[in-house]
Amino acid sequence: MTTRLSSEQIYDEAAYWAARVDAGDLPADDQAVFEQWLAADTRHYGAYAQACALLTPIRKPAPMRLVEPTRRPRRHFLIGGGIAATLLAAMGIRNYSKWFLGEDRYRTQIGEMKVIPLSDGSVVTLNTNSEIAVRYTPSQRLIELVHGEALFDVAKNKLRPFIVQTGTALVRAVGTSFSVKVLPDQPVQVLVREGIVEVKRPGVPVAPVVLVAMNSRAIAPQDAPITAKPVETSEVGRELAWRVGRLAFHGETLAQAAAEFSRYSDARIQIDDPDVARQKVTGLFVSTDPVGFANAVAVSFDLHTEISDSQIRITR
Amino acid sequence: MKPPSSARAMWLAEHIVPHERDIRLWLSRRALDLEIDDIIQEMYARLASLDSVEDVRNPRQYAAQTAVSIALNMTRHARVVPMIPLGDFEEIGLASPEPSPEHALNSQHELRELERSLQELPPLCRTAFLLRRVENLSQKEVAEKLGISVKTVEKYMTQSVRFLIRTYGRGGMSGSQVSKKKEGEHSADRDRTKLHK
Repeated sequence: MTTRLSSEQIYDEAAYWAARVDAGDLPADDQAVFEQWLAADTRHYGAYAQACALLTPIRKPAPMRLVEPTRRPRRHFLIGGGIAATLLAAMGIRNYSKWFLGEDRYRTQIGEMKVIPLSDGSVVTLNTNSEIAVRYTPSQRLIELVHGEALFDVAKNKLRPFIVQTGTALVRAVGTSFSVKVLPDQPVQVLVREGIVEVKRPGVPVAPVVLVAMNSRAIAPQDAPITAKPVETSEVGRELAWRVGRLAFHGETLAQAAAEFSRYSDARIQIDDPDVARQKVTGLFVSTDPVGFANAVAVSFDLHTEISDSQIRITR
Repeated sequence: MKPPSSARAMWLAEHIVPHERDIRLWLSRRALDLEIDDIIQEMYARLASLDSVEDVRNPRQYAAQTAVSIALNMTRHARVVPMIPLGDFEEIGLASPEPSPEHALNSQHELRELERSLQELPPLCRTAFLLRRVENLSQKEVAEKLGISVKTVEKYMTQSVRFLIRTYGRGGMSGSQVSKKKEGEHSADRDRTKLHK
């Protein structure tokens, strides 16, 4: 018993051997060393079994609903106008786009949010003023994010990749959770909450693929290569606060916060004084209540608010 | 002794690993003068070398009972009076035929926590591990995809597995005992990881 290894050492060795065996092609003499080690002590065998278990592929649980499912039934929107559409609509065929283009369209108004369960078990959460077109085929699950922002909780299916298409990026996943943002005057952003996705340029046959892992953000500008950077877990949570109807700020300037609020309502927050606009805000606010935000800011920075129909002015 | 089959490793991963924390907790509450790691390693050894697990209806309870019988054996050796009334199983729900819905929810939460815990690993290591385990690529495929050597991938697997064992051993991720992230490499490494198809 004097040469007993500590359990820590056993775990070290077990992890080492599990990784080597998992790599395959263990040379014969190493194989012998391994087998000898494995048989030397029951605890070696147990620790090794444990290490192997931690290396086996994970079958992920079905994605959790992040927001309670929308009470509204699925709605299909008529898009593009056109005589055919008008005619079909007039004939009472509401599901025009599916019938005509083989796609389902979903759209949110400013300040609205929708949870859309898809036929394969995936769930899309659509943020304010956003639109997607769902084009599922037997071989792939293609979704076009026309504009706005959406979170995709993807049901795992290796044989049927889940692809989100935007103007400057194709995001490909097998089973994971990520959000994509397509806003005017901003590069396309992909934020990965779980698992890994691949991002590449659309329409380029041999485009390089950028791997984006959990808690990372990829940026796909029009005129520069796609890049990815890790972000703090807490930032991912803040970024996705819109799922619960909130906006979370952590050191953003008032000007940035005001711009963010403008996505969620028609009211505009106006800040004339550049010094005031540079003040930094931190806190959690209701995304559709810019007045509440302005008032809270006014109180903490000793400022004043003037509220009219569609404008909220913050002044000294 | 034959190494455990991959089917058995999968069974352990799905049915035992999620309960390891509870079993460790239960054992540690008994305040036995025993190395809990030893018991857990023995427990995995026994479960891995069972001829068949088809008849194991309730893996959680079965694993807990195995651990207790190992502990009893050890105390006999150590000539310490065993203090394990089996009725105590009730205490943390190890006796229940199925984990409660709360527990099911918890283990889902735990999986998330666990995925999050991998954050502590250097980014390239984490990416390699996720590709292997979540995307089910072989180590060789991972190496090709990331443009690193097969040896490096193997090293990352060792590092990740060791990290996860430690994570479980210390009662999951809710504690603050997780080792601080070692700055072995720059996070930018992964940013540059691109591959050509």
